[in-house]
Amino acid sequence: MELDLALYLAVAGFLYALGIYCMTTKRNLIKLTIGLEILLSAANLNLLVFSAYRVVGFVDPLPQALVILSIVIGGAVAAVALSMVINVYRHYGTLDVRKIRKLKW
Amino acid sequence: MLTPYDPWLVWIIPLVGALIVPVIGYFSKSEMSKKIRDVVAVVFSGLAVVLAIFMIPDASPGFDSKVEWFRLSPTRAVSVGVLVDPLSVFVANVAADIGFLIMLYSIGYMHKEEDMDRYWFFMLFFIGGMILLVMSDNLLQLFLGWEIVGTCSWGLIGYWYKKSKDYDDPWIGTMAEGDYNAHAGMKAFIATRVGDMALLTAILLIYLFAGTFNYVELESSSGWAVGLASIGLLIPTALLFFGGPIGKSAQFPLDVWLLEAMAGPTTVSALIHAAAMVKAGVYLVARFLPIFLIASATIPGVQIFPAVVAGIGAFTALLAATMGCVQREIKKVLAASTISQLGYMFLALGVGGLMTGDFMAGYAAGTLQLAAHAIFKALLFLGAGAVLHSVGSIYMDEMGGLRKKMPITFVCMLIGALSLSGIPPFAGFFGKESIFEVLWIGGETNIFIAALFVIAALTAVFTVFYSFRLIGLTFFGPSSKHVKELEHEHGVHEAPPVMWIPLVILAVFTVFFGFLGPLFNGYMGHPVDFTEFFVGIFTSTTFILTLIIIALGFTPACYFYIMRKGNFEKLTRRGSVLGSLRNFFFNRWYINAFYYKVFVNGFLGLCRKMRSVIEEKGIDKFNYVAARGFGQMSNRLRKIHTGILSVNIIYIVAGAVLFLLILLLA
Repeated sequence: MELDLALYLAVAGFLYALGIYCMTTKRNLIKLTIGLEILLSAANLNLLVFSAYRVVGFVDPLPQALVILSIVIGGAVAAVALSMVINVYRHYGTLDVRKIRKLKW
Repeated sequence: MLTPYDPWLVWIIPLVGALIVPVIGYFSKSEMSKKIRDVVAVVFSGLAVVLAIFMIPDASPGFDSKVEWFRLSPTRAVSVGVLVDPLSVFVANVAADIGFLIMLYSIGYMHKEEDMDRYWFFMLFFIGGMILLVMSDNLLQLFLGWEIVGTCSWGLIGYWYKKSKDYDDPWIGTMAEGDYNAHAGMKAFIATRVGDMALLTAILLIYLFAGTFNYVELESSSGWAVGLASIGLLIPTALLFFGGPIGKSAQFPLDVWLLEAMAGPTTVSALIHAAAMVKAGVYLVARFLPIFLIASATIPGVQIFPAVVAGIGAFTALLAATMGCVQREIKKVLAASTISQLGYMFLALGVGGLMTGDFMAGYAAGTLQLAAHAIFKALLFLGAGAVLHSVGSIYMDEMGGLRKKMPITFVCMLIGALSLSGIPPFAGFFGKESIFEVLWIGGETNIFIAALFVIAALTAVFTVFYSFRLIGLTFFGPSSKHVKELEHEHGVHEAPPVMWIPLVILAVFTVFFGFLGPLFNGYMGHPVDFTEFFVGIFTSTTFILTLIIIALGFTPACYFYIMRKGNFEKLTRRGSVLGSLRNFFFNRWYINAFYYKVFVNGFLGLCRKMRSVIEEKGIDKFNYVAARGFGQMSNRLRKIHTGILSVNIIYIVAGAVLFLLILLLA
């Protein structure tokens, strides 16, 4: 594998790790949403990288189209998530996930 | 015969009537329409009488008319048919004619009852089934009729299953009267069922070897008997076959149901347990014994079967006669008497079978007693019914002095008792004398028959005693307190005409039937000279013996019960010999108690054990363990749902990693 490809993938990997770290350790719902977006961006970068480096000298347009789709979906997810967060705040009065513990045994 | 289809119609018409009368009853709400329904029921039974009577001239020589029903294989078919021969026509007449008189009597006896649809249905179904049993020409159809009469017996004994007042039975205990009646009906059904299963086994065994159920074919081929004998099953099959009559005719060891069967209405007791159903057993033995003897003529050692028949008959006669001497209820005396007289019939048939040279003598004696007994026992039961109807109590202690208040009933019952005791010139005398003559002749050469003769003679003494005890307690002596109370209220009066007319008709028959003896013997195929019959009877040794027996039995009965001298209670006080004998007889030789203890309570105990061990500890426990196990497992599994979002996300990530690993490595 070429160095460029490896570097891009490493960045994507770093972003994955960042997203996962954010989702598992943050308490604030807004922060969790941001983490979700970072994770999405990581996936998009991962896909884009392979559009340029799969075949030498040829840029595959399919992953690029998929990524545009994915960005749109990511935007929609963010919108829905934020609206849910607003509702949660209105219902529970707090944005702390540890206080919203209803789905338990 | 009126039509060629008479032998078929004679049983089809009552069966059709059994279906029609309840339908009429369903639509009749007014008193008038209810009376119409009753009359229609009696008319159906009357039609059967007419058809039965008109079959008599054609009975000899008879014919067998059959129709194929279905085919089992190219060579084997099962057919439905009727056999017209002296025995079947004769017993059909007994059932139809006496049945008609009893149906007529029931209009009066049951006129205050509400559930009469059910009553008429079962009575007509019974008459149809009985005639079907008797007229059928093959064993399978006979078994069908056999079961029909058994079912009707159950239905009619337990007829008053709704009564709620408590009833004290000395052998079963205290319970609501309706429950007792239902229990009695079930007891009759189960006891006869035991016999029926033996009979069915024997019928099927015979079919296996003979390939036919038909009487005519069974008699003409002896292959089946030889076949059965070659595997040693001939005598066991015959004994199993006899099991059916033992059950149906209440012989030892299946005699326990007949006394309880008195729980039903008196008309039922008269029809089913005196005139018809119990006679089905005698009919079957009379039908089967000749077939058996002819088919196994070449096989040695078959004499055991008639010997067993005769032995059981004699023993039962004695057993039941002793039971009859100590009963308190009027109908139970008559029930015990029925068992005893049936024993006499089996004795006669069996001894006839033992004396191979003179089988027809025993056969004719047994069947003569069958007819005579049917008539006078029905008479006695109907008379007892009239007394019960007036006095309203079944206990003889609560009767007494009814001679002047119910004169017609008194005379009729007296005639019945005289006939039952075998006093000349009534029908019972000729029947009993014929049986004693057969026994005397047989006893000259065969010591077993001589022993049976002694038992029969002893039974006759008891018979005279209990007959006159019944008459004495009911009609003679001072009126009991109960009767005196009734006198004050509305008087104890004679039965209505619709009830005493059948009584008088039966009484007239009882008086004159005996004189038909020679005609009857000739009809049955045992021709006897007219003068020889009568002169022979009155000059034989057995006649003198009969007179001695009558004197022996009558004297104590007259002393204690008719003249009411002497104190029977003191003689049978606790601890004395007579007292313990009395208890033994009253408890029916403890046979009934034994059956309850071993079979009924034993079976119920087994069921209880099965329930506690298998059901509760086995199956239920398995259910609980399985359910609880699942519950516990799910209780543990549910702890996974912590509700902490971070943990859930970690699960997602871990799951994704695992999935990727599997994809990469597999």
